Parts: sequence; structure tokens; C-alpha cells
Amino acid sequence: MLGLYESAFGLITWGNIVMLIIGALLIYLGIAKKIEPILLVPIGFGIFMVNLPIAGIMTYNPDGLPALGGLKEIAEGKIGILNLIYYYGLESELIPLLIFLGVGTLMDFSPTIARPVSLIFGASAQLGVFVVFLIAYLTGFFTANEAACVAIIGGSDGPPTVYLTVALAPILLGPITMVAYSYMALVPILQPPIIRLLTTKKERAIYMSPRIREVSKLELILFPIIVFLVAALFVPKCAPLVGMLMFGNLLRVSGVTDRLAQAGSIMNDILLLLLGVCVGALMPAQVFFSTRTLLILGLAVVAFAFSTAGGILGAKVVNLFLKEKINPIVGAAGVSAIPMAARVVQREGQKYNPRNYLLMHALGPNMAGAIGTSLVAGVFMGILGG
Amino acid sequence: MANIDWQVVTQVAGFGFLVLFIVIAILALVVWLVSLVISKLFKKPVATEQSSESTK
Repeated sequence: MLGLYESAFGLITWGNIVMLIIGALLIYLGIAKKIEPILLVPIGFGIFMVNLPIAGIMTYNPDGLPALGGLKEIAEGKIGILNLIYYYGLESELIPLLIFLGVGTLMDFSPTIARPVSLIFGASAQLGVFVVFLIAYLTGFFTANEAACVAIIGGSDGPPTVYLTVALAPILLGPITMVAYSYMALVPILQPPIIRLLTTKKERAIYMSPRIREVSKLELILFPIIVFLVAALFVPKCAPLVGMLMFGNLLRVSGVTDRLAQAGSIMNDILLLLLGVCVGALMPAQVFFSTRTLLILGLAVVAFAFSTAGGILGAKVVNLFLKEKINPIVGAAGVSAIPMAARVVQREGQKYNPRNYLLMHALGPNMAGAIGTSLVAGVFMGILGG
Repeated sequence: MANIDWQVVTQVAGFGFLVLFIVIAILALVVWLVSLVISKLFKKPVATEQSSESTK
């Protein structure tokens, strides 16, 4: 511009400008509306970083994937600092797995152990994943691998979504992760209409005692070990995800590794920071603006809707065999999105029966949903070869 | 539709969903059984506690 050095003004495109607006919107939602700020603020700023031409913070290959390399390539100016984080953190699957370890240190599986049938709702609430896989693949817009990654958004669990996408369709990592995390914040808006559509007023008012069975320490310790062994034996490809989640949880419940559990949760924050900024940087205009991104935005809503429906229908089916009926809306919490889906169930339950306090009952399927989504990721990888 | 691999469709949507349900059902059963065994093995002597309370 001044003849001495190159400025970015002349190179900026309309696509970049739209992406900068999207980045600003995410930062606004995170800061002003407090919607998933831990993720949306870094993602928003990551979008800024990669949509200013010649900034070189993240460079791309012609195929739309981030350029790979190490310190030598950085020194030569071939790649940027975020390429390095992408390569060592995401391409290697390290960040999603370690985040899941941190998540495990924060999870309390007592409600799931107290009522093991809630695990079933965690499975039935994966319905949306399989329905959207079929829609995405059969319409021909996505390959089988890509369809699986789009579909798993319906599981409403970040780390398995990132893990699977890096393995099967890394080119879609940016839009899928952004949609997955921002739609999770929309659970309180998306779920109530589906709950009302699929249940009668009488069903929504079914009373459940607010107290759950007290779970012993031995049960809490054995649970992560049992889950890992069963999951890894039947679906070996999910072992890294379930293993990390359950290892983190064992650190929490053992009673002698509190410091390690605390370290895990602190590490979680650091990794979320790196994940957020890196995911944002995966959305340069030339990659983000495509018909497929718009399709992902639409299919994610379908996935959430069917998953919520699956959870509710699962609870209704289980009710056929139970003497003491479960309020079927509890099944809607099986979509994971911890703890937002459980809170939605609590609120909806109290609306139709003010005596109802369903939160603890909803947390069971809510936690089970995380196990369910990890299993689905393993099943997809096993079949599609990730 | 010509490029659709129907074997993949069957495997993922049919077999995949079935495997998920079977594994989760086994998991639920094992967790329930372990809880049952633990509660039997380490059952608190409720009657003794009640009797000791009643003597207070």
C-alpha cells in the first residue's frame, strides 16, 4: 500500500468480511449472552486470525486442509503457529482425547449407577445420529465418512465429534465443530417442542421421587472400570475415547487422586482454549462457504430433533416393562449436552407437575449419553475404517 | 444414488445401531448385577441399628 510493504486491504474478499462478521457474532454470543463462552470466544477469534489475508497464522494446502509441518517450516514461513497446534494437537487426536479425560474428572455417574436402565436412554438418544447418517449419505452430498461425522453432531458431545471428524473427514472439522458446540447451546430451545410433541400432558406430569438410591464408593470405583472393559471389548475402536473418559472419572472417585483429578480439569481448560482457537482457524472463507456447510447447519437440527425423540421413545418403551413408571421426558436428556439437556427436562417436568424434581433422574441418561456417543464414534470408525 | 454403497448403509444404520444397543444393554445389566452383589455383600445391618436406636 505504501510501496514498502504489503498490506492486507487489497487482498481481503467478501467471503473474508462475512467470516469476520461470523467471528464477531460468536464472540458477542460468548461474551454478551454467555453462550458457551469458553469455546465460542476462542473460536470467534480463531476465525478472525485466519480470515485476514497474508497474516500467515494458519496456512492451507490447495485441497483446503491445513499445511502440515514443524518448527523448520515455521522458521521458513511456510506454516503458521496454529498449523503447529493443529498438527500436534488435532491431527494427532491428542486434544480431543485429553479433553475427554478432563471431562471424566468432572462427571458424577451416581445417577446412572443408581438406575442402570438410564443407560438405555443414552443409546436410544443416538437415533438422530443414525437417521442423519442415512439422510446425509443417501442424498449424495456427503461420502459415508463425511456423513458419519455430520451425523455424530446429534450425539451432542464435543470430544467424540472432534475425534471422529479428525479421523474420517478432517476437511469438515471447522464447520462440524462450530455447529456442534454452538447448537449444544440451543438445546433449551430445540428440545421443549419435541418433548411436547411426543408426550401427553399426563405423561409429562408423571411423578418421580426426587431422591435417587445412594451409591456406594465401591460402585463408583468399579463403574469406570466396568464401562471401559465392556466398551473396549465389544467396540475396540472406542477404547481411546471411553478409556480417557473413564480414566478421568476413576481419578475423581478413587478418593486418593484428588490432585490428579484437579490437574485434569485445569488441563481441560487449557486444551479447550487451544481447540477453540484452532477450530476457528479451520474456517477460512474459501473452505467455509460451500453448500455442504449450509447442509451441516440444517442436518444438525434434524439430528438433535431425532436424538431427543429417540430418548423419549426409549423411555416409553422401557415404561412398558416397569411397574413404577418413569416420566418419559427423562429420556430426552440422553442426548448428552451435559447438563443443559437435564435442566430442560427438570424445567419441563415442573411445568406440568410442580411437585416433580426430575434433575437427578435426568442426569443419569445425560451421563449415559456421553458413553453412547463414544460407542457410536467407535462403531463408525470400526465400520468405515478410521 | 448410483454411488451409494448399500452394504455400508446396512452396516452402519442396521448393524451399527444394533451393536450400540447390545453393548449398552450388556453394560446396564453388568452395572445392575454388580450393584446387586455389592448391596448383598456389604448390606448394612439395619435391624441391629434400629434395635440399638430403640435402646437409646
